[in-house]
Amino acid sequence: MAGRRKNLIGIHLSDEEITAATAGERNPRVAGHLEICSDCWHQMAMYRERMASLRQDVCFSASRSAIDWGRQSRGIMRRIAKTRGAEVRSRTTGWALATAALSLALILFAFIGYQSSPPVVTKPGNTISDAALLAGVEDRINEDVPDALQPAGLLVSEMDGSGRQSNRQHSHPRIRNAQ
Amino acid sequence: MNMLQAAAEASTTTESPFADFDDFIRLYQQRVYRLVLAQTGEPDLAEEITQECFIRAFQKQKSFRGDSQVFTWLARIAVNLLRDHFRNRKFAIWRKIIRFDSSEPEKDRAEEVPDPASTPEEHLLRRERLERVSWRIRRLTPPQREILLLSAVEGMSIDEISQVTNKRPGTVKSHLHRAMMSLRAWQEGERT
Repeated sequence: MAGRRKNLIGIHLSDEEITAATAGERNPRVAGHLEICSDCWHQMAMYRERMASLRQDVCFSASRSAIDWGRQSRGIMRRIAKTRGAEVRSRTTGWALATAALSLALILFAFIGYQSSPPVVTKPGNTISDAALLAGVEDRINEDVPDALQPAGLLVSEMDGSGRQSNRQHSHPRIRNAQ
Repeated sequence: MNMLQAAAEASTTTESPFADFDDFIRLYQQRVYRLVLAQTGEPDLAEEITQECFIRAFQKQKSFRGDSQVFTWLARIAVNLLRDHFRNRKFAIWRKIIRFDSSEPEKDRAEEVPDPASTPEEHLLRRERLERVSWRIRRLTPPQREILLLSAVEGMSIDEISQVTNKRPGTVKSHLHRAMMSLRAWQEGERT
């Protein structure tokens, strides 16, 4: 037992191993050695002391009053709010631009579509003189058989044979044209 | 682990840590600030980076999956911001010239008035101590600096540091060891 202990102590831990142990690494071999080797334990205690001293220095240097910490946290929240505002603004601007572009495109399409459709040209109709119109009206008034009954009238006249001449005279001008 | 840390970690187990962002800031701002201050050595800059860290955390809160401690996640953001800062430091003077803005709101200026709670003596003492720490820390390489502070000041384990710095645990141990050796050399030098 004593021999084994002497062997374990004989091979001291390396500086790297002691540093790792100081940093909290749990190695069973290192832990076993530290239990029995006062030299290595002392060395590790010195390392810890150095680290603690550094920690103390840093913490002391970085110590500030509650007012300062409050000011800093408010500053951070203000900057976050600004960042969020900027994000929202850029998103809104993006949407507005997209909407404007879309509207513009629609207006343009509508305009181009309107332009490309064939223009409605009103064809000048056959002008009828007032005298002809009046003659037409007079003819209508003088008709003894209405338009709808004209074919029947014709049939009767054909069957009759006698009233051909008179029918021809009184028939509608369109029917006369057709005949 | 102090009471503040304990309260912060306990809050992560019950509900979303971001439910009340104001509380979230109050819980972690001191830890983030001292981590940043120890690396930069400049209180104003540390405050700016701390603010930026929380803004990033707010924007990226959905990316927090809860597979690590909240502070580990937050420290990772802070470490990345610090890396960016040190990388771009040589352009700082140009940024200052470009960013010069005289339209700063009066309210912000009013809040820059020194805190009446801390006496000038305390302020001076703090400043001296900060300079001493910064002098030591600045002599370390950036990875050594990050790892030593996360271990010594924040009490993080090797695995946690590995998550924060995105380095393998073996690399973390190696950097930590070298940083400790440097620290020992300076402390012995101060004694003699």
